[in-house]
Amino acid sequence: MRDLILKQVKKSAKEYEIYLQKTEINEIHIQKNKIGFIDKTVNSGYGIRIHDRGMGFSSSNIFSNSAIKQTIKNALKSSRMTQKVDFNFPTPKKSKKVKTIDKPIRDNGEAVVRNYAKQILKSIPKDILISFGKVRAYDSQIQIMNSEGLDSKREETNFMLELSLIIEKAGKKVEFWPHEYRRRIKDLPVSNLKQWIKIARDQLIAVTPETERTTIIFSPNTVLDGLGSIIGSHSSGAAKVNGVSKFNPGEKIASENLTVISDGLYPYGLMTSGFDDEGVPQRKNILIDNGIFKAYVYDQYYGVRDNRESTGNGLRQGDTFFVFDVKYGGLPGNRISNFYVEPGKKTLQKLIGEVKHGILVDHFSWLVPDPTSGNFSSEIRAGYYIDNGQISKPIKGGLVAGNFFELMKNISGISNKAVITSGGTVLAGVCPYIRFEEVQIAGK
Amino acid sequence: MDSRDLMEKIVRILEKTYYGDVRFETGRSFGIGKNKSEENINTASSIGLCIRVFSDNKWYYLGFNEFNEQKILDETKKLVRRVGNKPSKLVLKDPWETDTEIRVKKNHFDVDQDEKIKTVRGIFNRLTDNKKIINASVGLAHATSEVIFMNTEGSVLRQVLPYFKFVMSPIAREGDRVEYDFFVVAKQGGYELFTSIDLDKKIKDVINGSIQMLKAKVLKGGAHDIIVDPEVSGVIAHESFGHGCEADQVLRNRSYLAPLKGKKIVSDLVSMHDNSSLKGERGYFVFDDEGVKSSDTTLVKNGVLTDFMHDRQSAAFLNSDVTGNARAQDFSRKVFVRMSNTYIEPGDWKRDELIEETDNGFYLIKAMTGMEDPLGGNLQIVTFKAREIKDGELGELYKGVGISGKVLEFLDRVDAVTDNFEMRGSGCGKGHEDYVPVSSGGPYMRVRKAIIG
Repeated sequence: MRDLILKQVKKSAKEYEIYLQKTEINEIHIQKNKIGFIDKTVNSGYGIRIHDRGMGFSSSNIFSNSAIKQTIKNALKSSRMTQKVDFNFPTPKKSKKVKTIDKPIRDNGEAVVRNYAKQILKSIPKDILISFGKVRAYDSQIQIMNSEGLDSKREETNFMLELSLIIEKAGKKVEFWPHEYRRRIKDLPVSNLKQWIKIARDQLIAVTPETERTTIIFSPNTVLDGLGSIIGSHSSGAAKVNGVSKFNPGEKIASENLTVISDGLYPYGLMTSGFDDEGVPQRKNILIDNGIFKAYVYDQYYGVRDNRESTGNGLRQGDTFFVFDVKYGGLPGNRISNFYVEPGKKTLQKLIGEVKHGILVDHFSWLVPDPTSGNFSSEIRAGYYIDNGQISKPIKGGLVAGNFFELMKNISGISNKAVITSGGTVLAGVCPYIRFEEVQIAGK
Repeated sequence: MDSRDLMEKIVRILEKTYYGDVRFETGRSFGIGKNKSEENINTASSIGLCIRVFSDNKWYYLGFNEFNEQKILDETKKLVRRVGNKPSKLVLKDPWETDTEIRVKKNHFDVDQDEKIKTVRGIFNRLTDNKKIINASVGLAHATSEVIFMNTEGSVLRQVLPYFKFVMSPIAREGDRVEYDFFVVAKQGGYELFTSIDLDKKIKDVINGSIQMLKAKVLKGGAHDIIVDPEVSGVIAHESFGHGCEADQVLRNRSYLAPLKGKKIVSDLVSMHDNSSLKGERGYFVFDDEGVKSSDTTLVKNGVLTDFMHDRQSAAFLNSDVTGNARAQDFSRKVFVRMSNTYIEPGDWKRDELIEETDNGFYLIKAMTGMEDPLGGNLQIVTFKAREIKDGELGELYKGVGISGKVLEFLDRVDAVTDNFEMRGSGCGKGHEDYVPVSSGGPYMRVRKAIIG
C-alpha cells in the first residue's frame, strides 16, 4: 500500500508528505461487575500533505486506487488554492531510541485486555460496584515519508482504563470515576484500585467545602489539566507568531521553584516518540527554568515561519478528545510533548504537613481553563481538607476558581516525585503535586 | 466492492445468532480554517464496516475499514461459531425499510471551492479590520454521512445526512490582556444555512463582544438569582440532566434519576425532550445505529420525570420500548445510549420582561463546557460571560462563571421561562470520548439562588 500511494503522489507533486497509520484495537467493557462487550477493530488510513504554493491536506481510510488518486487530487487542489506559504518538509535526521512499546500488548493485545478485566473483577470488594468499565489496548504502526527523502517508521502501544466505582451505604450512593491512559499496562497496575476505592469510600462522608481563599495542593493529573493546558498554549511558536502568547523569553512568569520541560523522550510517556508526526526528532525542550520562560517550541511550519528550526513539536493530537488510532486524519499541530514538571525537594507528606488549613484536590469534574486568559472554574470531584498538617475530612463539590497565570506565581511547594499521568484536557504529563497559595473556593 | 452484496452475506451468517446487524458507513468532508498565520483546506473520505452480534446478553463487535471480503466473512463466521446463539434479552422489532437522503437547497459540494475560500478570507479581513483585534479564526466545514444498515430482523435501511458548521472568533488585545468572543452555527442542511446568516450583524456583534471582554471583571462566587440564556439552558438539559436519562446509566445503577420515574422532580415550568426526529438540527437522523426509527421522547413533562432514552438492551431489561437513541461515534466504537437534540420547552415570558422583573442577579451568556455526573446529579457547567442585573437592568460585564450544585434543586428553583427558544449544535462525548453530533437548547430561564463562581 505504501508503494502504491508513494508512486501516485510522486506523479502529482514535487513537495509532499505521506503519513500512514495502522492500529489494532482490542477492547472489553465491564457492566455491573460482568464482562458485557468484546471488540476487535483494525483501523488504518493515510494523510497526505502537499506543498505547492500553499499547503494542502487530505486524508482517507479507503485504500482503493481511485480513493488514493482522489485523496492526492484533493490535497493538490487545496495546496494551490490556499495562501502562499514558505515551507519545506523536514530533511531526515537521526532520532533517539525511545521506549514506546508495551511488549504484552504487542504480543497479544486481546489477551492483555481480557486478563486485565478479569483481574479487576477479581480484585473488587463485594461492596463496590463497577457500574461500567472500559479496558482498551492500541497497537499502532506509523510511517512518515516525504519528498526530502525522509522515511521513518515507529511503533507505539497505548492502554486505556475507565472505571465507574460505585459504593452505597445507608441510602447514599457515591462514585469515583477514574479515566487514565498509559503506554504500558504496568504503569497502570490493578493495585491502583485500592487507592481509587478509598477515594470512592471517602465520598460517602465527603462534605461541601466552605467559601474561602485558601491553600490548595493539586494532584499530578490536575496539575496537568491546569498548568499543562495554559503553559502548553502560550509556549508554542504558533502563539508567538499570532501575537497571543503571554510569555516572552527571559521573563519571570512563575515562582522560582517551577521548572517545566516539554519532554518528548520520557520513557513510556504518552507523547514520547523518537520523531514527531512530521518526522523531526523529538527532544527535551526547557519551557520554564526556575520561573523564567526560556523558549518557544516549534513544528516545521511555525519554525520556517519564525526563522527557527523545528524543535520536534509537530504532533497530531486532537483538541477536544485524545487521538490514538486516527492521527492520519489531522494536520500536525504545534504543541508541547509530555508536560514534565521537575519535582521539588519535599515529600507530599511534608507539603501537607506545612499546611495549617487548606485543601488537597485529587480530581476535578473537568478542569478546562480558558487557554487565552488562563481563567478557570471547576468543581471538585474528590478532595480532602488539610487541617494542622494532616489530611482530614473528604470534600466534594464547590468550585475552585481563579487564573493560572496568577497561580503560577503563588507556588509554595512541589513534591519530590513526578509520575506519568493523563488528564481530561491535556493528554500527556509527568507531574508532581503542586501547592498553590491564596486560591478562591466558592462553596457553602 | 458491492457493499450491499457483502452485507447480505454477512447477515446470512449472523442469522445463526440471537441477533446481529451490520452497518456500512461512508463519509466525505470538507473544511476551511483560517487565522492570521494559517489557511488550511482539509478534505477527508472515510469508510467503515461494523458487525455486531448479541448472544448470552453480551455484545461482540468486529470493525473493518479494509475490505477483504473473504477475510471479513471468515472472521464473522469465526465469531458466530464462538459466541453461538445463547438466550438473551433484547428488544426485537418488525423489519422495515427506508432509503432517505435529506434534500438540501444547495449542496455544499456543488459550491465552488474558490467561492468558499474567498468568503472565508473576506470574513477574516472584516473581523481583523479593527486595531484592537490582533487575530481571528474562521472555520467553514461541511460533511455528508451515508449509512446502510441491515440486521437479522430483515430491516434494510439507508440514510444520507448533510452536516454544516461555521465558526468565527476574533481575538482582542489591550496591553497584556487578551480576550475573545465567538459565533457558531452547527446544523444539518445545505449551503443555504450559511447564506442565510446575517453576516454583517454577526461580525459586528462578535467584534464588539471580543472588545467588551477586555473590560470584563471577575465575578465573586456565591448564591445569586440568575437568568440563563438558551445555550446555557440547553447545556443544563443535556449535560446535567440528559446524561442521567440515558437508560444504560439506569441499568448500570449509575443514574440519580433511576428511582424517580413518574415523580415530580423539578419546577412544573420545566418540560424537556430528546427529539432525534427534529429535522435540520445536528442530532437528527432517520434511524439510529441499531436500525430503530428516530423519535421525540418526552423526558420531563411539567416537572414530572416521564421517560428515559433507550437502546435495544436497556429497553429489554427495563421493560420499555426502544426510543431510537443508540448511537456510535463510528464503525470502530461501541453503540451506546446517546442523546440527539435535547431541549427544554419554551414558556410564556418575554426575555426583556424577565430581566426587568429581576431585582438583582446575573445573566449568564453562552456555554463553554459542561460535564456529566449521572450518578451524583451535580451541575458542572462553565459559562462564557455574565452581565450583572441591577434593579431590572443589565449592568457590568463579567468573565464566565461556573454553575455548581444539584441539578434537581437548580431546576426546581426555575420560576420563569421565556417564549424565545434557540438550539445550538455541538458534539457530545460519553465521558471523555465517543463523540456524536448533537444539539441542545431551550428558552431563557430564571433560577433563584443558584451557586455560581
